[in-house]
Amino acid sequence: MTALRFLLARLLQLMLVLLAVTLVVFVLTQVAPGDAARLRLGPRASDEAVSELRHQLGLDRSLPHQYLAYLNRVLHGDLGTSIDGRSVTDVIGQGIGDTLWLLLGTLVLAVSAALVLAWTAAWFRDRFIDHAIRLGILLALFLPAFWVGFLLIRLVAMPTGWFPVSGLGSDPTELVESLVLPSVTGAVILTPVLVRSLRSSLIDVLDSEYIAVARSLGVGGSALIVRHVLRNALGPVLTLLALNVGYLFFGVVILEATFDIPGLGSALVDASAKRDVYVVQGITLVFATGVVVANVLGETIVSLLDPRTVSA
Amino acid sequence: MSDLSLIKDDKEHTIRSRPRGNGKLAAGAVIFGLFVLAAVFAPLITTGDPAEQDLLNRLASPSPAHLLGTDQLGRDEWTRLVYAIRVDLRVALLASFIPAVLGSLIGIVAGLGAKWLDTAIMRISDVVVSLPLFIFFIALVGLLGPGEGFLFLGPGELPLIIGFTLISWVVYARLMRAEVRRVRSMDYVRAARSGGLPRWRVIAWHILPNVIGQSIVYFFVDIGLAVVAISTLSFLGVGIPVGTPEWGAMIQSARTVMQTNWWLIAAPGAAIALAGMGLALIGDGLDDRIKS
Amino acid sequence: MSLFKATACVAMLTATMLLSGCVSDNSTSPGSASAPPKRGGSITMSLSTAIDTWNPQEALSSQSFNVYSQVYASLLRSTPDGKTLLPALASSYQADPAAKTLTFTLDPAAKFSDGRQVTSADVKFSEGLWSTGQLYGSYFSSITSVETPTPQTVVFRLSQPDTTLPAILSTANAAIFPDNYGGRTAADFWKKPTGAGPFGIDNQAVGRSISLTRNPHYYRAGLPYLDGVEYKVVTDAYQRLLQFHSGSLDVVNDVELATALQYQQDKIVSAPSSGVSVLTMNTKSGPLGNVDLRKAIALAIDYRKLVAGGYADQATVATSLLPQNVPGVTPCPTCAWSTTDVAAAKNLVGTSGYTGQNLKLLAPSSTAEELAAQALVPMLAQVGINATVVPLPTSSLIDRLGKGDFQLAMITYSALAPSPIDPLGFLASTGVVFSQSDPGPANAALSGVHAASNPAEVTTAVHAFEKSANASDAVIPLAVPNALQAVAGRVRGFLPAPYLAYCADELSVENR
Repeated sequence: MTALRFLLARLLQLMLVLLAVTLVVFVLTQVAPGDAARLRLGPRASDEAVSELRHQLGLDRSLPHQYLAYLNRVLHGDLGTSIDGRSVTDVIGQGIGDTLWLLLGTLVLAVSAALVLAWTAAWFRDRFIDHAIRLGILLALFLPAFWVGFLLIRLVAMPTGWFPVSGLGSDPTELVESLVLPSVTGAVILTPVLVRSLRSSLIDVLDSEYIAVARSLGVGGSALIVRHVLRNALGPVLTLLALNVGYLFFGVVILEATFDIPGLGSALVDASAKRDVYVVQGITLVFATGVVVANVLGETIVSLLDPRTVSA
Repeated sequence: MSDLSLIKDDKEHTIRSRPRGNGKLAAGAVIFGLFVLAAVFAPLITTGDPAEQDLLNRLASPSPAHLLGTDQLGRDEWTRLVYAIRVDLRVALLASFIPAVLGSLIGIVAGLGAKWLDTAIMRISDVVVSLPLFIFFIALVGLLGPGEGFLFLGPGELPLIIGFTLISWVVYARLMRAEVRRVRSMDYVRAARSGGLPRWRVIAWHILPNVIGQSIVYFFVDIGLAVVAISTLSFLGVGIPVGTPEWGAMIQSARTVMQTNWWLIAAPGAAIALAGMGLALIGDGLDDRIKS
Repeated sequence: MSLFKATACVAMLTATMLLSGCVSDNSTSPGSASAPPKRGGSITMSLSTAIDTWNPQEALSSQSFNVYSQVYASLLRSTPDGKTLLPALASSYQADPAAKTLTFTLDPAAKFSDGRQVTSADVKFSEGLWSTGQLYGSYFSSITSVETPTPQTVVFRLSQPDTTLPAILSTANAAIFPDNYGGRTAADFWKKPTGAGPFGIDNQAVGRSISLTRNPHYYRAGLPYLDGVEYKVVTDAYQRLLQFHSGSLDVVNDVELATALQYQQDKIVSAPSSGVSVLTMNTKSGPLGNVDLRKAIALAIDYRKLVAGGYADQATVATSLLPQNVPGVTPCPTCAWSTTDVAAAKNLVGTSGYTGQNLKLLAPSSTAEELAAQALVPMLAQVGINATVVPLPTSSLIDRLGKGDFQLAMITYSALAPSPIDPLGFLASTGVVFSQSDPGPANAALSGVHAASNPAEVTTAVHAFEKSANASDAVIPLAVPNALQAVAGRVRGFLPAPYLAYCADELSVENR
């Protein structure tokens, strides 16, 4: 019963934040310079045609009215049309696959690296290796991702020819090969953010009585320890990822620009340079929804994993 | 990445037998100090004009006349690198200082003010944290363009500062609120309050000095993060306009000659990383000292 | 690099000959002396911007015309160097200056990629599209009517014995489309058109890539050698370099000048360029409405340095506003293009009423112009003119220019075939590269060239135009950028094409 109420509360929260997101995204169109109808029809269109389209798009109505109309269209999956006449949902559909692959590659690599580093640091707490990892991680926070990407291209990809330098491959082997360098770059940005908090969570777990007992079992206990620690680290990792998902999306935009991957991020940068308002609006909405959903999802899962939060 | 995890938790499980952080603090101060000195004395250690072109001597290799060679328009790379400190650090400092003050004030209000105010501020900060603000920034600045200069700021700098303020006030607010709540129930504050001191004096003399430490630590880290973010945004074409001596923009335009003139990429990138690391070391060193 | 196309046409001298007589079909590739070309395989080529439309009558981007050459065929075609006309869908034609007619006999092998025969009705329908085209309709102004005596014969009735017309008919501006869009609606047809070129459209991801597959009904027997051509939109010049290096691009159609030296030099194919990089000024708004200020800008520029630095030494100083490699265009003796005089420029700024406004200089991002624009700023500052560079994606730049929403802009426009008709027509239909100055002189020159009966008359008409353009200084020619293409070692049969659009039907790949 409490779990159900908890879920309902979360759902309500999600709805409210999503509503806020649509409002923010709607405001984007209002501040954009130029007239959407004129942009669409081009310079040679007559004033009549432009005002006709303005009417069609509802641009001649009051702002609250326009917002409600926008909300209604979004609920029906209609995100408008780009200046070159494509439906924005198509533009998003075209780019979202590459973006998701990048996210996945980055996440897998960053989380594995973070677990290994955090575990090592926690295990050798206050020893030299712990200090070294913590200092290294602190400094790695300040490596500009695009620069790391260029260095990888120049120092690894170009001389060896092992990895494709731009875009994502289509068949599975090519896809994995082409994901390597962007994911490594992504991991360089994301791992430091994870390691710092993960280390202390792991220390908490390692200090628990459970581990003390397992340790006393000797060699047979080490498998137990690994299982126990991993299970307990899952919560903090999810919380951290949920917290940083906005930053992660920003990272993906950088990766796409650096490695010329035609995902949502490149489309966003492109469209905003072209002042393609509806595309910018649509992609921003997708990213924002992704962040909000990931946040709520992360929190919910963590809470459900840990019964104490629900009852508290 | 504006979240507390960057500075919290890290130190909680370390045993300290002696005051630490002096080494880091010194190293950070030396690095950062060198950047500041270079920026201040830029005219003395460079050719003097980062915009001066020598079109007939483009893409020159490093030489005594041009320490880091010349770029695609024959501009002296070393000069641009040094003058870029002025742009990057100016924007980064403002983009961290304004949210630090603003966020800290909001945090104090939340920590000491009425319950409803606290709740309202915290809910707002929840929403702000859960929005992809950098994505909004790209969308908005991309659509609006960098704009004109403002007072002593160059074109594109004001949107960056406003954007970063909206993004990072939350960290300071949360940090400050937590600290204030911790301190206000302590004996000496209670004593001061019951002693009949005016409220503002209690805050200014007894609470503030005890809660500001963490914000200062984060402030230094934040400047470094801002340097990285500013250069990243100009790389994406939504920050400081092309042609300005700015590290990210320099990398962006030298990309095309990376095969032959790799140092035009390597140097500005190293400068970003080094500046950030210097600031991070200062922050971390301060943190060590506060906690020990 | 080159944004704009402007078609022009092939050797006007051939016009009165029976074409089948002058066919020299021995265009073999250099360096491929050994094995004969093999059939099969495919290549990937880059486009520096997405094609703007499939309709050649509405296309502004030269990249679009590159793709059209593979998908569409015209009555005639030209050798890659543009110097000789060859038969294409028409196996021969007869010009009769006295009766003012052009009569074409269609090749029985001419078929669209869907297998339908190309008939005279298709030609008549297509001519209707050409001559009503907003941008290029003026090229066909001499055609008064089209007659179709038999399915294999087409007669163009002309208002004057226009010697430039056959050359125009070899370009994609005169592509042949199926009558009545093959029964489809116009909107539907232009989404995925059918042509009679060597390749048909297989599928396309709008704005990103286009895959073409062999047209099994192509009129040239045994061609094309390739099974397919993949076009990939890579807007960033540096990414084109990387992808060429890594082998994912076989041909880079548009090697950016600044990156030229980063390629392996034996892979670079250079052709004399048919483009001109220009500085265009909005004469209808702001301080640039003043001719003195425009003249001051022209005089402030150090053209030699600009070419050396801004154009990475991969260009020459422009000596005419029209592409100077186009036959019929020669430097006009009384024009003062490319003259530098800083003192005079300062005086002109003083008398122009300019009060130090900051002028926005638009340049297409990731092109030679972006760099050249930055090189221009200090030169203008030296005479007291403030300018700021604003790099924009090519498509946005075109959009802004079309709307007159700009002050200063740099672009390259190119001819796609060697006749002054094309650049002149382009200048006339765009209000002289969007400067909104009087297109009258361009139109006059256009009529003059259409009516010319010998090369001297063409030159006279061209010079008259250059002189008036020079006097108004609304558009300043800056540089003639080299046309550079990078071609991978496995590609055979590639010939440098100065007019950017070349047909890939004779390209082949080595199979290893």
